[in-house]
Amino acid sequence: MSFFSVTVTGQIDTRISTTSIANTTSNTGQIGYNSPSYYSVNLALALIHHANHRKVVVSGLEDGLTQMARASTSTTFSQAMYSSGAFSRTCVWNFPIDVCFKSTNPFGWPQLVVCVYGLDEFGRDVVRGYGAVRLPLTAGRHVLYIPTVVPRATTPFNAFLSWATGRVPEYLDPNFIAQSKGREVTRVKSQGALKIVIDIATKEIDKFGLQVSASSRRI
Amino acid sequence: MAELFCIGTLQGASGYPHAELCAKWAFVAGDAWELVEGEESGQTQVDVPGEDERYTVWSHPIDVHYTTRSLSGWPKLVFQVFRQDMFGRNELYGYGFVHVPTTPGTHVLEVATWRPAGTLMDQVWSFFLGATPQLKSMDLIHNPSDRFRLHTIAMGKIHVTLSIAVRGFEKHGVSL
Repeated sequence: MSFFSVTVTGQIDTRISTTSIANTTSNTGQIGYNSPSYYSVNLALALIHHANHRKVVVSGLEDGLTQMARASTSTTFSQAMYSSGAFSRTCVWNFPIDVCFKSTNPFGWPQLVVCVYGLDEFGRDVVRGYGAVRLPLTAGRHVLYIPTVVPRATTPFNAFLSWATGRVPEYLDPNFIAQSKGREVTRVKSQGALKIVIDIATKEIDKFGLQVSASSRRI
Repeated sequence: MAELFCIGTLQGASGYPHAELCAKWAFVAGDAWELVEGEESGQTQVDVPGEDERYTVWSHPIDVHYTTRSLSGWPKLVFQVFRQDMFGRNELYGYGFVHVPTTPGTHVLEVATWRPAGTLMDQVWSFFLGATPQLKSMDLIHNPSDRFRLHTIAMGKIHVTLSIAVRGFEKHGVSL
C-alpha cells in the first residue's frame, strides 16, 4: 500500500472558560468561576492546517464558519465541567467536522485551527481567541480542549487605541497559531477555551509499517 | 534505519511564582540520530494570562521526524523557562528536561523545573534586582555529570502532550 488515510469526524462543541483547563492540569484544587461578558455572542472559524503538502484531502471540507451563538443565560452544567471543577456560561456551537486525508508520512500531521470572533461593547466584530490543537494519531474518540489566546498590543497606548477604534491586534494569517516559527516575537493574552469532540479512524496505517499506539502489533 | 515521529504540543506551564512566561525548547539526541524534517528547537510566545493566573498557555506545536541507527541517545526535550516582566526584561524561571517516551502512542508529560539558587549574595541580588543566576552551559540541564555542585530551587511544571509514532524498529527486533 503506498499511502494511509485518516478520517476525522467530530464537532466543535462549546466555548468555556480557561479555568476548566487550569483545573484539569494544575491540580491546585481550587474551584474557579469565570464568566466574562464576552462569552455571550460568538462565532468560530475552523480550519484544518497541515504543514505537509503530501497530505491530500480526499473528501470533506477543510474550513468552515459556525453560526453566531449566544450563551445560555443560566450556568450550564456538564459532566466534563463537573470533573474539572469549573462551572461557567458556555456558548454552544455543535458544529460538525467531517474530513478525510491521505498521506505517506505522519510528519505535518493535521491540526485544527480555530479563530473565535465576538462582539465588543459597541457591537463591533472583534477577535476573541485563536487556538490550535493537534488531531490525535490514534483511532478512537477524543475529547480535546483548546485554550485560546489573543495577541496583545505592543504598548498600553496602542491597547487603548485598539479598544477605542475597535481594531484589536490580529494575526494576518490564522495558521500562524499552528506554526512554530516566529512565535518568540508574540505576546498574547490567554482567555477562554473550546471543547471539541473528535473521532479518528485510520486506514492501512499498520500496513504502512507505522506503529502509533502501544497496543497495536503487540503479541 | 528506524524512524521516529514526535508530534505534539507544548501545552503550557503552571505553578510558577508569576504567570507571564515563555520557554525556549530544543530536542537533544545522540550522534546516531538524524533529523529528517521539522524544527528541532524554538521559542514559545509570551503569555500574559487574561483569565486564569494559574496557567500559562503556550499551545506550541512540535513536529519532528528522526531516523536512527542506534537506540542510544534517545531524544530528550530540554526547556528553559523565562518570565517576562512589565518592562520586557527576561528573567530565568527554570530549567528542565524530559525523555521522549519510547512507547508509541499519546503521552501527557509533566516536566518539573528548577533554577540555580546561587550564593546568599546572589539570592539577595535576585530578590531586589530580579536577575537570577543562570547556567553557563546548557548541557548541565540534561547531563548527569557535575550536578552535585549545584544548589537549586524548585519551580513550576511544564505540560507537554507528545504523540509518538515509530517505524522499522520491529524489523530490527526492538520492542518499544
